[in-house]
Amino acid sequence: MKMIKEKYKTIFTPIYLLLLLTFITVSLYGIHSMQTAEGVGLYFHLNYSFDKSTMDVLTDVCAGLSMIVFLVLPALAFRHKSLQGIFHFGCLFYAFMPRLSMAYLIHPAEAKWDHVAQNWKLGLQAIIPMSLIFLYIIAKKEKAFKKCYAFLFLACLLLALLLLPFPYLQQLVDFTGTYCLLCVLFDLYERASQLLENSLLLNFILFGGLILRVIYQLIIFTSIY
Amino acid sequence: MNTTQLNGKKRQAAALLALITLISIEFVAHRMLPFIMDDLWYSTNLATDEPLRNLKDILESQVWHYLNWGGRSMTHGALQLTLMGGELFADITNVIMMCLLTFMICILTEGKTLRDFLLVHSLLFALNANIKMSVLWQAGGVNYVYSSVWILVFLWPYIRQLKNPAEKRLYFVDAWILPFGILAGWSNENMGPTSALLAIGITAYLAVYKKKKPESWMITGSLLSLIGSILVVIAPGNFLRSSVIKQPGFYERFLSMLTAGVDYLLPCALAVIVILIAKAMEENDSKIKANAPKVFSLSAFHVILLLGILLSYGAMALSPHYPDRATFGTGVFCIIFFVQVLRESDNGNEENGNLTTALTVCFYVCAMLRLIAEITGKG
Repeated sequence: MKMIKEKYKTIFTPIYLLLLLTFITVSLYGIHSMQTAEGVGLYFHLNYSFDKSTMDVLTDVCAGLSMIVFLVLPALAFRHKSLQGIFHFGCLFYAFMPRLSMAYLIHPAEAKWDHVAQNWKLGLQAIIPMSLIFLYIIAKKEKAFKKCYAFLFLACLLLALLLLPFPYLQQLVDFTGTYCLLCVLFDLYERASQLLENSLLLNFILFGGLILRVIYQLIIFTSIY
Repeated sequence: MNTTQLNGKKRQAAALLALITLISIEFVAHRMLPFIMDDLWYSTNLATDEPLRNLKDILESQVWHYLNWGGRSMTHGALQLTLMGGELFADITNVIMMCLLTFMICILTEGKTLRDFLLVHSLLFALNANIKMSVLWQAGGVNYVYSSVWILVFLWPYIRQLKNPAEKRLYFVDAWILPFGILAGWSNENMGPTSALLAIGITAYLAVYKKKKPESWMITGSLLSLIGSILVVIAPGNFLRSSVIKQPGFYERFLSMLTAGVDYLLPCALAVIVILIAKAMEENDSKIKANAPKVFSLSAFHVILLLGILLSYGAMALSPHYPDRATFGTGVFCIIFFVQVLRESDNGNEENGNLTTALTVCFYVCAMLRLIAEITGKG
C-alpha cells in the first residue's frame, strides 16, 4: 500500500500543479474581467484622478495576490505544507467560495441585500455535515476537536450576528464565514485522510467530483463577465 | 425508571416536537403557494378547455395529453385528481405524501426510531435542489414526491428479498405489485425506466447468484414496470413536443448534465461519497482488529442503490433539458444510500449514535431555514 501511495504521489504531483495553475489562471482572468466590467479602475480615475490603466493593473495584482494568500494560508496554518494539501484546499476553495464583487469591496454600504445570507445553505447542506463525518472518523483514533475550530465556528456566528445591524455586509460575511468553515473542513479532511490507508479510490472520486464542480464554477464565473 | 430510560424518553420527546414543528412549517409553506403555472392548465379538461368536473374529464384529458403533450399519464392523472379536490385538499395530501415518502425510506433502511424519521424528513428538504418546484408546487409535488412514493413501494418487496433472500413474501404482493409496477414504470422519463431496470436487476441477481427461483410477483412486477416505462417514453406527445423544441447541441447537453451533477445534486453526491469514506474507515478498523485483509466491501443493496443513482442521473442525458426539480428522484436514492450506510455504522454504538444525532440537528436546521425562506419568499 505504501508503494502504491508513493507512486500515486509521484504521478499526481504534476497533475495537481497543472490543475491548480489552471484554476488560478482562469480565476485571475475572471477577476480581471469582473473588475473591468464593474469599473474599479474607472472609479479611482474619476474620483481620485489616478491613472485608469495603472489602477486596473493594481486592482488585478491586489486581488490576485489576496486570492493566492487565501489559497495557501490554511495549508500553512494547519501544517499541511505540501502541494497536495494546497491542491485539496484549492479544490474546496474554488468549489464552495462565493464570488466577492470588486465594486462591493469599494462601496459595501451601497450593496443590494435581498437575502439575509446566501451561502448558509451550502454550509448546512454540505460543509458542516462533511466536517462532522470527518470529525467522527478522527475521533476514533485521536483527539479530534481543536480549539481553533471552536474559534472559527465562533467567528462564523459573530459574523452572522453582525448582519443584524449591518445587513449590507452580507457578501463579506458570506465570504469570510464560508472561508472559516472551509478551513475547518480542510484540516479535518487532511487529518482523516492520513488515517485512511485504503481510500485512494474514494479520495479520487471525492476530489474528481470537486474538480468537476470547480470547472462548472469557473465556466459560470467567466461567462458572467 | 433509570437515567438512561429517562434520557431516551427526553430524546424521543425532543424528536417528536422537532418533527411536529417541521411538518407544521411544511404545511404553512404549502398553504403559501397557491396553484400556479401548469396547475392552472391541468385544472381543465385538456381536450375541451373546460374546468375539470369528474373522472371522465381526467380520462379524456390524459388521452389527449398522451397523444399531444407527454407520456406521464399516471402522474398527471393523479395531479388532476388532487387539483380537482381544491387547494386545501392538495396541501394536506402533499404533506401526507411527504410523510409517506419518509416512511418508505425508513422502511427500506430499517430505521425504526423517531430520530430516523426526523433525519430522513429533514434530508428530503435540506438536500433538495429546489423545494418550491419539486415539493411545494402542486405539479412538481405530484411528479416527483408522489411518484417517488410509489416507486419505493414497488421496489420494497424486491429490496426485502435482496437483503434477505429467505425473507417471507409480503401480504398480497401478487396483487398489489401489478398497479404499483405500472405506476412506478409509468411515472417519469428517468425514474420509471430506472425502477424497472432495478427490479429486473434484483430478480436476475437473486436468480443467478443466490440460486433463488424468481417468484411470480417478481416477474410480473418487473414486466409491468418495464411496459410502463416503455409507455412513458414512446408516447406520441413526446415526439410531437420535441419536434417543435430546438434540440440542444453537445455543449448545451454537457453543461446541463454538469450543472445537474455538480450543482443541483452536489450536497447529495457529497453526502454519498463522504459516508462511503467513513464506511471504509470503519471497515478498516474492524478488519485490523480481526487481522483480516483490508478489502472495502459493498453489499448488493448498496450496489443497487448506487446503480439507481447513476441510472436515474444518466437517463437525463437523453432529455433536452435537465431542470433542478428533476433531480429529486436521484436525490431520494442518494438519501436512502446515505441513511442506510449511516444506520449500518450506528449499530447501537454511542459514538456513532452521536454522529447521527449531530447530522440530524444540522439537516433539521437547514430544512427549517429553507422552508422559512420559502414562506417569506426568500428561497
